[in-house]
Amino acid sequence: MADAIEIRRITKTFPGVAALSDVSFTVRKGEVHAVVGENGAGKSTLMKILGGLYRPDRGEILLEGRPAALRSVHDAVARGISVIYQEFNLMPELTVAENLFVADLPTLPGLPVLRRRTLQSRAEALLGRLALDLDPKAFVKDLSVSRRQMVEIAKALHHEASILIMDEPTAALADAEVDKLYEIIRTLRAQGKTVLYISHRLKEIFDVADRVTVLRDGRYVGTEPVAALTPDAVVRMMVGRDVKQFYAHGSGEGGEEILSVEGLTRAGAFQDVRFGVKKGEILGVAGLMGSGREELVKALYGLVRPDGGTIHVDGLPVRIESPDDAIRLGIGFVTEDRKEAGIFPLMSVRENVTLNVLRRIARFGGLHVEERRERGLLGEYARFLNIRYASEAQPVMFLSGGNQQKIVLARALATRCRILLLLEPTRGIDVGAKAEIYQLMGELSRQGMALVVVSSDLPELIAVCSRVLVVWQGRITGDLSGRQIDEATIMRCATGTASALRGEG
Amino acid sequence: MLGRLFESYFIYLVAAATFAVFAILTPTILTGANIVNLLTNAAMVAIAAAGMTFAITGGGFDLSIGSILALTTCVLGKLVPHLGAWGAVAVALLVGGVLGAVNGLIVTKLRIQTFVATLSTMIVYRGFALIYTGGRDATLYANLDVKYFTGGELLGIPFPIALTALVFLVAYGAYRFTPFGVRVRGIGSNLAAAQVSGIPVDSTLIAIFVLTATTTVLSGTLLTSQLLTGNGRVGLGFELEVITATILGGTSLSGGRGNVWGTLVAALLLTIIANGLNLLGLPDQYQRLAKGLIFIVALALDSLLRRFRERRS
Repeated sequence: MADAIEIRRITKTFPGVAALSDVSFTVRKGEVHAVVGENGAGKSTLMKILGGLYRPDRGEILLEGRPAALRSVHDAVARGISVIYQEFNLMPELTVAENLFVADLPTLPGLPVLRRRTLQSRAEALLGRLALDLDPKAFVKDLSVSRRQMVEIAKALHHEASILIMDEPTAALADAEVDKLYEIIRTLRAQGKTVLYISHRLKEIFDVADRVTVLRDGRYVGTEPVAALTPDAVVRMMVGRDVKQFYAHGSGEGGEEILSVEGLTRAGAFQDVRFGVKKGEILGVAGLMGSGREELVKALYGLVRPDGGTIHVDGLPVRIESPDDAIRLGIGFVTEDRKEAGIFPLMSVRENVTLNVLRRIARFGGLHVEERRERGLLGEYARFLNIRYASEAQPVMFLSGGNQQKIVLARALATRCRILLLLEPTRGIDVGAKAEIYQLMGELSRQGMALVVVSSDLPELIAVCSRVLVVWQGRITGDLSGRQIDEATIMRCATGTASALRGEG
Repeated sequence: MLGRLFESYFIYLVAAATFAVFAILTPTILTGANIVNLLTNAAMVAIAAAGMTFAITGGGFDLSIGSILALTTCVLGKLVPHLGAWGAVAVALLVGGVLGAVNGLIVTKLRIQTFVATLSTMIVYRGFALIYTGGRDATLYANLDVKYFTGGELLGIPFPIALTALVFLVAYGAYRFTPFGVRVRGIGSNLAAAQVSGIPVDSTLIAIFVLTATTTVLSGTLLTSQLLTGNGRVGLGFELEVITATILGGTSLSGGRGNVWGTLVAALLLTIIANGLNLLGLPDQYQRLAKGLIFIVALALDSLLRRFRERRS
């Protein structure tokens, strides 16, 4: 039997960067084949070549033993390749059903008139086959991120694809939904379909993949059966060296309380929330999607307005009605939505970092910003955060996800904040950058900064935080510290199956 | 739910309220002759705005329609004496379709943003109109066939009103019940996603520009019939009036969401305001002031309502 995909000596160069150089490997029919590598390793480029969005400079792709010219998305779809890209490719103003079938909408014979009933029943059939609980008539803009991901998967599958490529499919999913995704992938494998699975999360690769191919700096490193590997071995292949201290533990003992909230309430989001955070503490906030955890933390930055309750900083009551208020109080914020709300993609690396502090570094009453001072500030944070970029004038959109995240972090730090709120600080970034960000969080906490971290990645919270609050239906159902912090306890609190746990002992 | 309903029908309330206010201030507005006159004037903006609703829903603009309007009066002014009214209109529609397709090709093949592309063709097309007529009026006083388009009746209904009704029924049908409508919303909603999803983006965009141009030719036909002359200088600022009606009607500037009936009502509202202020004898310069203020109030109320609803949900 011919291999599903044979990648032969593919090279792709972008101005100044070799994204892929001379990469060859094969994907067997009916296997789940993981492709891993740090950001910038060339995974996304490879996926886009297979999806017909890019054309390689050299080399060729064979599908089932025959050379395939994938010149457009259409060509790829025609050859049975379907790609779920990392960025969402849904149209929010269309309904679920319309999104699923937009490429071939059912019409009356010979007339350009939609058959809405047919559309509806086709969508129902497709969603039913995948056991996805979605209303075909719902507008995508009204769906949560994880439900959108489900639509995305359903959309990729309706083309009768024989090869399905998933780029970071779990980036936005909660744990229960990840299990659901595994189930779908196993079903697909049982149906003889080939799955190419790209992820930064090693656990997933060991959960779901048969074989794994590692890329590094655009070069092929190797392909191995997953059963023959350990996570450490994969990491070694990815970064080409040993990564020590995967997680850097925060300390945060005995500092004084810098921020506290009491009776904080917002109808429909969170109720009567009370907690405090100390200097040097890394406080985790866990909870399922929709539990109100993001809203709660956003309220501390003036992005969400509470209906009632008080916030104290340094023991004094404060009003936080806008991010500007928060910044003045020494509160920094790193968004969970880097692409939409974090970076200014077309602005330079330098501008992205200094944007929040122009007032401080400007002269002549804000009329003139000296580039030298901007550069100094950028240099300082670039060193501290180990940000890699080609030039300070480079638009941020050309940096890897990990470096973009560091830019967002640098912008928050540039405000000289004492309290840092981080939402999903390592979403969609590679292991190397992840380890660096953890180390950084540890370093900031040692310098006395209070960190509040919201994350869907439980191992991350457990490893990084000295204390974890668990939110369920807008209420704090767990305040865990020390040994209490483990996945089982957090999950029990997050699903409301544990009576409230407060403090140790 | 009530909030959402209120939001989509908000423009209807504003239009009704404005009409009521003017009816009290100047009862002349209620006379049959004035109402027919009002609807005829509204038809010109409304018909072009039906096309513009698709352009803005698709995430773009068409700024060239003022020039296409002028060119239409010129084509009709020159050709009606030779081809008769209907023949000349057919040619004008053909010319409009070609110019619209050119807009579409510039946007899709040269990859220029709709705003800049149609800003350029706005200048070029008006140039065509002026060159074609040599900068002079092409009067039709000798051939009154075109009078039918404003003075005549279709099935007992004044022609402009019948034409508007027809255009909007077709536009609503296309928006709501055809794959074209879904594609336009998809493109306006997320262009990159539309491309990856396999929507024929280029041909859909070209179709949108053909639509804005041909609906404008229909508006231009009504205008010619009113003016009885073709002139390359008419229709300055027409595109802005049409865009205003479309946005006021509830079509989202950020793309993806249109409101065909809202456009119609907003076009009516604009005409009611102009007509009412005229009847009140307000000098032109104050009319502009009043119009601007009314728009700001209407848009601010709409935005307030929207935020109120988002906060409640």
